[in-house]
Amino acid sequence: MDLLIARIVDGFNNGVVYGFLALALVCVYRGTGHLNLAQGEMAMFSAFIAYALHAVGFPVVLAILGAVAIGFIAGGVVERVLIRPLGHGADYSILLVTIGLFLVLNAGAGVIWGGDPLTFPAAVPSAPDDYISFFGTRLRYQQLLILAVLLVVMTALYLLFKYTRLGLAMRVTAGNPDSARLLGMRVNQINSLGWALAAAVGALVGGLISPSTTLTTGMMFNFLIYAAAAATLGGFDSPGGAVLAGIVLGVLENLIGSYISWVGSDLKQAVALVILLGVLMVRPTGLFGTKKVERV
Amino acid sequence: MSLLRISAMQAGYGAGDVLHGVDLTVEEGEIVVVLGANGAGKTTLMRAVSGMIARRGTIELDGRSIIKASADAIVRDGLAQVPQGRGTVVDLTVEENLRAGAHVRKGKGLAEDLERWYTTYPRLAERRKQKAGLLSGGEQQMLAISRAMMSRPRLLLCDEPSLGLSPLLTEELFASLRQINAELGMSILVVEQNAMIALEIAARGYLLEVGVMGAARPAAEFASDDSIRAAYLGA
Ligand SMILES: Nc1ncnc2c1ncn2[C@@H]1O[C@H](COP(=O)(O)OP(=O)(O)OP(=O)(O)O)[C@@H](O)[C@H]1O
Ligand SMILES: [Mg+2]
Repeated sequence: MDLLIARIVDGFNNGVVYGFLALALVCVYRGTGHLNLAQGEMAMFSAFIAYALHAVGFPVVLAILGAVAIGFIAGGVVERVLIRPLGHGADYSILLVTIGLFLVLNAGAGVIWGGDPLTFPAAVPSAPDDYISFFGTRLRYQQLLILAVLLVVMTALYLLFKYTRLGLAMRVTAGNPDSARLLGMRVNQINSLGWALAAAVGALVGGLISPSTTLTTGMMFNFLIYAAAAATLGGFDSPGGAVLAGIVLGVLENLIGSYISWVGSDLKQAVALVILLGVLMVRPTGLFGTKKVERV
Repeated sequence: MSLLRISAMQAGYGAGDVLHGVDLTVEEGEIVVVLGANGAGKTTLMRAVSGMIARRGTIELDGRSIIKASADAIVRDGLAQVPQGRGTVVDLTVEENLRAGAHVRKGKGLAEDLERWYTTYPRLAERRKQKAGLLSGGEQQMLAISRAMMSRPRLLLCDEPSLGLSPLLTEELFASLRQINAELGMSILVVEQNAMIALEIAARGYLLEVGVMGAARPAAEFASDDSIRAAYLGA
């Protein structure tokens, strides 16, 4: 019984990260209608920036917040410089550019910070006995912190999209950019903002998880695959759906990997993909996404 | 001074001009109709005025040039457009679409205006929480007009509101445009293929023939012109 709970908790903790990164994908999607494949690498790069800020003397929390601020600005700049010139409706070119960005950031971080794993301290006490016992399992403070921050970010995004003028403008822009312009919305600025927000959320994820994953250029790669799966399952336009899907994915993946021996840890990623395909076959808009409704 | 004054305006899509020197005016409180067959350039005219495509020449809104202004600035200057095909955002609710229409007003007097358009179009009120994509064609057109009006424009542009609607619904819709004009003094520029019904509510009309705009004439005169009747009124 305790083992089962331990495995659920482990999976949950992974799932929280999937969901968190999925929130970043949702921000770009909600602000522009696109998928940013470099989202994970942007988060990785931001984690290195937090590391660099810490190395020059900033306390951990300030280093992370600094990386978030830099990420926010850099995200907006990336949209302005790399995405906007491609024009509206250039979906495939944009996807390719995000792959290019992925490679550049990955290689760039390797050149600047080297290939060896670095360590970045946790924002909260994380000595061996800094945990809360939960049915015989340990909930470490850092993991609880990640969960708490995730819930705050998720709620903030939900409120932004649902109840604010800006959030509504982001949704209109993603859904129908021409209409958005005809309603007086500054579509370019809104696109930039979507990228900026996403990059800031990603930086937060990077800074919070690097203490447990160690800091490497490949740290986000797996997470991005799961996050993309979670965002898809969650319906891509729903912050709550993305987080819930991330957590469900993390728990299922861990349980299946632990209890079905031939899956083991090698095939765990395949499990995520199978779940993804299965859901999409039944519900093409994901579990919680708004159905594309159109009468002809 | 005219509310809208267009003079020697040229516009197109890069491969060459579609409109070759358009002159047109709309007076304050007036309904003006531009008639034209398929491909005459009616939509191009609308998109050029609202800043959605490149254009040259003179366009003045209330005496101020908007030829260099961006589409979003033109909306803030008081011009709202109902695009051909309506342009509603299908996965937002009716009410969210309407709220989006008030974007440039930053939410002032929002509740009042929502009520106003729900009263004008009760069918929208019944469906306020429904996704816009589930509305019928006629309801979507009502939504598109209300949404444009939510910006409290000085001039409303409508691109073929009758498109895809039954004769009865078209009748109803034009009656509501006439009502908006009468009650709010709203100036309206409408382009239509359905000449008969559009001329009924308009004061003046223009004929656009493959990118060349004819002279303005009183709507009544159009309706009784035999050559026009033959070409556009199906009689
Ligand atoms: N996006 C575009 N790119 C290139 N050419 C275009 C574009 N849109 C329209 N055109 C061309 O411009 C001309 C005028 O088209 P426009 O849509 O303005 O006509 P319209 O009068 O609105 O016709 P309809 O009654 O069918 O809506 C046509 O020859 C059309 O092929
Ligand atoms: Mg047209």
